[in-house]
Amino acid sequence: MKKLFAILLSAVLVVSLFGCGGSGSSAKTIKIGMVVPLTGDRASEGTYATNAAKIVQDEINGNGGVLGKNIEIVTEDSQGTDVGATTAYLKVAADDDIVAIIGPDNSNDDIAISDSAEKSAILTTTQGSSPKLQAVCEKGQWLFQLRATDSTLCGALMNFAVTEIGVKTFTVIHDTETASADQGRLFSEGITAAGGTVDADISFTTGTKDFTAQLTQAQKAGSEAIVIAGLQTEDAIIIQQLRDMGMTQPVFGSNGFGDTVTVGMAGKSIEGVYSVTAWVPNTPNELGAAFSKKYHDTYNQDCAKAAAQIRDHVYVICEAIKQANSTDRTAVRDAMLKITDFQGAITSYDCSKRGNCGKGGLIVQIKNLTPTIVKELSSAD
Amino acid sequence: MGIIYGLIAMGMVLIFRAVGIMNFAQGEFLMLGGYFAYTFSQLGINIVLSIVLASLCMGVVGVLFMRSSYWPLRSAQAKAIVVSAMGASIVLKEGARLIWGALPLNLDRIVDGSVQIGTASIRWQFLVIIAIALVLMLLVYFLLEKTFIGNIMQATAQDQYMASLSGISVIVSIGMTFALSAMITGICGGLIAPIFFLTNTMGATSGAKAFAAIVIGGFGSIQGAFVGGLIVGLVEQFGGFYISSTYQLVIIYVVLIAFLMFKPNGLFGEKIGEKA
Repeated sequence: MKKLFAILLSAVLVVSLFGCGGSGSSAKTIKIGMVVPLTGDRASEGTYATNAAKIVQDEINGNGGVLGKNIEIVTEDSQGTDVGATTAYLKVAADDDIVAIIGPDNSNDDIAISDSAEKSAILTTTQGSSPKLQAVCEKGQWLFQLRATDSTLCGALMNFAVTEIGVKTFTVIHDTETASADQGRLFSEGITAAGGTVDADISFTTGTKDFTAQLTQAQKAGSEAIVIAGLQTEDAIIIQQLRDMGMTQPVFGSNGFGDTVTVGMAGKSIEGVYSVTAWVPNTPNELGAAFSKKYHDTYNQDCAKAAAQIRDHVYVICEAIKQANSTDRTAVRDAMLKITDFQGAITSYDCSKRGNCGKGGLIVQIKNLTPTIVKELSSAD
Repeated sequence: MGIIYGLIAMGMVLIFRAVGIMNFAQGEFLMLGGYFAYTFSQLGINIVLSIVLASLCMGVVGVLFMRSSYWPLRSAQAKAIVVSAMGASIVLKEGARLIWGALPLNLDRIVDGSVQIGTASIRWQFLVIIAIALVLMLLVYFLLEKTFIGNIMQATAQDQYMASLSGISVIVSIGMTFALSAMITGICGGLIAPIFFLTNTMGATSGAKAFAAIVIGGFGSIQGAFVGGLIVGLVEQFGGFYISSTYQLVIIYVVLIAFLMFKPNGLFGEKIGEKA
């Protein structure tokens, strides 16, 4: 019996060796890695991202793929943390068949993976909007920030608030994580540049649920308007608690406030809030509107920014592969640098500088739980 | 929030008194209670009844948790049981994500709106939480001190061996303790979910603060756990307002460390020893 078992086991091991072919079978597909949070506090972003990846993969493969091959999007879980993002990135990067990798939608996590991206020498597109991330991308060789940075958007919203809404005094409340802290600073600078004054700058840590202390400070400051920069869940909680405390002044928020997930969570509390964002489900962009409709028809939910971003990242990477006419990583990266006007669902992309590759944005106001476009921002704003 | 921390801490102390182990999955009981309440409310059931039904479900969860994570390891070292509870915590968290999804969910409040008291605006939901918490405290006190079942649970908590010699079914008694603990914490989940949204990670921070409440109140003391929770809540808010809103958690744990240094038994600390 033992002999028979030993023979069977040996046979299985030998057969498995033949199964582990080199790049033979995987050469039929072009692999694109995607590092997004599937677990943790920001798992909702991962859900939208993987949903969008399925749609885009089917779309591209249905149209003949890229260079005659199907694309395959390989997802790893960043767990919503910088450590998780780095581990997931390294796991994906270890696969020699991976041509490019899409980083998470968080500047902190993107900065965390930047070293690994440079060492791995793999084209990596990042979804974060922080100016710090822009600097990292422009300094490196392999990272591309496919997004308009907050430098342009935050200032534009504050200029709008002061000059068009007529608000002069502000209290700025922001998360301490990288992107939100940057947004808080940029909002404050934008207020000052537009001629307004910042009465108070109040911060909180990610994961805070009870904002009584922060909102009591804001109440005490007595400003005409409140500016909030945070992640989706905290944005929804803080606006709800702010309204519950009877604070009725106008609220201006970072891009999280215009997002489908935040609007759904906050409900009627978010009515009237202004936000600056790159994406709304009812976007005037033709490609965006088509993708938004397809997403809604497929999953019976509005298309969030996290989904639209993945759509554009995959298409830009595929465009770079087509222009390189190769899946060689260096050739694809070099081709990416030559993309200067690629129209996506969110915006058009100029990748020549690696940072701040997206252009323009939207100032929206939430009306009847729908982000309504108030002003379109060009790249000059 | 101090009241909520106190209730969660009370649930942890009940288990600690019964089996001598700190249950690091208590935060996940909070989370599951919220999700059960959400599920029942989606079936069109009134929110109050949904929370009641959720607490009954949590009672079952508590018993299953005891049978799977504690009972097989009851003779093993304490650290094995602690690790088992931590593992169960991860299973519950990710299981909730698989069942209910990753998107944060909203639950109806029992009472909407807020009331103005002087210059302060207090949400009605918070007042409801305070009222329900006081009722739960009284019920738990009544159960443990005045009923036969409570006597059984306390006897088992004091000395399992003697309790079994007296004819008490230890497994049933411990099961009831876990069920009661899970029910109390599950009710908390249903109460705070409308304010803080339902996510599968909502239990983590609350559980950690509840542990701080136990240390401050005194291990093994139910009233200490409740008072400790109130102290944690007050420190969190007043520290956040007067010292720093960014470092609220740091302030709580500095106070915790101070208690450990100067009053390690806590405010109502008592030692549960074996009777000779």
